Amino acid sequence: MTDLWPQDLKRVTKKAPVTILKEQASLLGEKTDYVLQGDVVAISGKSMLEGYRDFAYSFEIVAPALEGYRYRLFAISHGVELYPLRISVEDEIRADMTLSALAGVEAYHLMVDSEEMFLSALREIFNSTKTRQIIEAILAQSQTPD
Amino acid sequence: MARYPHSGLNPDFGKQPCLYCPADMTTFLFWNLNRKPLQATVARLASKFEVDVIVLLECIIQPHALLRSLNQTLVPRYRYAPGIGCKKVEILARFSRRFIRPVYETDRLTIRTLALPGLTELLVACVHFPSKLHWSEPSQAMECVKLAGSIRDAEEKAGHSRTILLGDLNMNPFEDGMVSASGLHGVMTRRIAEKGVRLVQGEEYPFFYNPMWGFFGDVTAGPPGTYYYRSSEHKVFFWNIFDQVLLRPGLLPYFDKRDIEILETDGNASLLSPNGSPDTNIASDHLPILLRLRL
Repeated sequence: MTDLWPQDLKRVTKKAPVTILKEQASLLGEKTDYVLQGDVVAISGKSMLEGYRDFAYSFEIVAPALEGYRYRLFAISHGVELYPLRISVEDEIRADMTLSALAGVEAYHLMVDSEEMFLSALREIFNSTKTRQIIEAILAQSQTPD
Repeated sequence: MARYPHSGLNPDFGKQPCLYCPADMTTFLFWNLNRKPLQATVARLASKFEVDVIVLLECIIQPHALLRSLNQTLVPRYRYAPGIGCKKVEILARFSRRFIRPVYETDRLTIRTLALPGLTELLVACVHFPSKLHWSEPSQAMECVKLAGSIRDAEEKAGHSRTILLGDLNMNPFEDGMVSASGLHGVMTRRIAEKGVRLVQGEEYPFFYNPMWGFFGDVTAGPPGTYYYRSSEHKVFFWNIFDQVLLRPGLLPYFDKRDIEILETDGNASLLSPNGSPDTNIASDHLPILLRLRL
């Protein structure tokens, strides 16, 4: 039989956004001496609504010392092509972000059309004042004796 | 919960006299304050209806001012039960905040475990969705999918699905996100909800019972909605029920349909203007909701 497939099919050149998120999630633990952890959760429940994509994940901050308290910092969704990718992030974080780093804004969602832009957006989300405040609040609660 | 004398027949309970004495109830008050300084009204409502848990949205009142109003005359005293990451929902309760601790939050959502000694433990999810001014219907519907997923995750961790959802969803009970199986799956009758789940394309989706359907229009007593909006467009509902309470089937044994009300008075003054819409001069553009559960 003739093999009609490309020879280099196994070679993966793109990093999936969820992989990038999981890497960053693991770093949060290191940076907080594991008082906090990051987690990436697949958002279940297929929606056939117009404009929504096949893959959706939420990035959550987890506080094991608070009986597993979780805070969803943002969510992403994208199609099988990986990009463009939509980021759903809360108002106060978005207000801190430099929109020039992003492909555009659609209602309350940010759109990025490349891995480079996604990384830039993540950097801005993680460094925003609101994110720092959230992390500080969860850390403070985690370290408060009962 | 500690109970105080209740007078039984009471013409202050809106159009319906109180026909029974809620002897052993946990009472929730939910209200979007529209950024108004309504601490005195909140205190009157809390006193009138012996509220145990107060959930407020668009609350600009500082916690100490709220507590001062509530605790001037009320016993047991209210305590502030703040979220950790969620600042858009304010909760006060007549017990220590360690009995209503947050387990999952976003900026607009707080899911709490309510675990009062000797009473049935439940999850209380309180949410404020963005308004239709800022979000399209598909966006609101997708947010319902995420909310439903967050609630299911919290239920899985809690080991039960006795959940109430209190929220200004900025959607009516009949909108896509509210009724879709992958959304909140809120159904209008207890009988349907008691089936527990529905299978769609091979996947199980749990129901919520949405008693708010029963408040539409003026055939039943009480206000015909929680939010009044009029415009010059062709399609206008006038009365909307954006503020909603949904219950999982697991809580239905603890709930009677008489135990949910859209309030039109604080016992002292009407919350409605002479034309019947919420009186924004003295109160909010939303009406409050009262819920009682026999835990």
